[in-house]
Amino acid sequence: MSKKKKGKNQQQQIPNKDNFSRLNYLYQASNSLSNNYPILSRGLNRNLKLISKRTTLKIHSNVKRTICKNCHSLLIPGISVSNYIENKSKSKAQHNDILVRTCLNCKAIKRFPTKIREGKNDTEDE
Amino acid sequence: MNKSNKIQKNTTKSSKFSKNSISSINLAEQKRKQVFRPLLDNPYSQRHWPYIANQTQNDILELLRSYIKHEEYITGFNKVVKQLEYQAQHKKFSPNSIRYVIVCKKDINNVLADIFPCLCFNAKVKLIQLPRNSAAKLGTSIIGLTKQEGVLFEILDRLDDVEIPWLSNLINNTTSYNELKILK
Repeated sequence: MSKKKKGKNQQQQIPNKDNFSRLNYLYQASNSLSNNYPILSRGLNRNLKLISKRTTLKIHSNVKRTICKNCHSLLIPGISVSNYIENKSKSKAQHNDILVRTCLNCKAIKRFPTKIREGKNDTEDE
Repeated sequence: MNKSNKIQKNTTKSSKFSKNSISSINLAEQKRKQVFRPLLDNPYSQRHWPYIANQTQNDILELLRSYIKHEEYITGFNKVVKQLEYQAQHKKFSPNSIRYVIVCKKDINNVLADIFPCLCFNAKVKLIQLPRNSAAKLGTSIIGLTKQEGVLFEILDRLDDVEIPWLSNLINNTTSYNELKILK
């Protein structure tokens, strides 16, 4: 009994649940429309970002990285984004590799360092 | 595979509490400062690596090591990804095109590894993951193979393809809305 009660309380604690479900809807809508109506999908993604800013809700970095920072189009590897590794260091050491992602729609570039930090690279096995 | 949207809770602890000033007020304050923040997670799980049994992974690794000494193959992130992107856009196979991509998933950064499932699905290529520390044994962490004959390719052909339900729905226009789900 007590466990059930706790569960209920925890659910109630989440503030702005309606806003979260709105973001959820926008993201899924923009996903499903990205193939046929790319401009509409971009508009939805822009709404998603604006709403998350206005309501100060956090979005997971996985989700954020699927949206272009410049034109707000959906980034899917092989379709709308191209990746390559750049290494401008003199020593060409592996930890200086930088992943460069280019949006194929607006050619905006975003860089990610690829150095493996200890204990950070453990993924869950399915 | 959980397609529904998740809201995760993120804990951030305050570190302002100092040992010298232990008082009941401070203790109460410290308790209050533990903040839970909800996060919007991706409704479409990003990790769609096909399952390969550990024993098979080790077998593939051993076969690869002998294969690499004699035959030609494409190696390196840039070359493999460039070829795959070309294949994904043109949807055509030539004798020189990559059919199997072998990635030492645990030896490279997550940011790099997360690209491959989507990319391989779009290029219609098989994706194979190898156990930890196999990059050191092979000398490279990413290998692209063309189709040839041999024991290695018989094993590779038997493995599962990459499956990404939301992406295939997206291409076939059969997506549906998922209800909001909240994790405890």
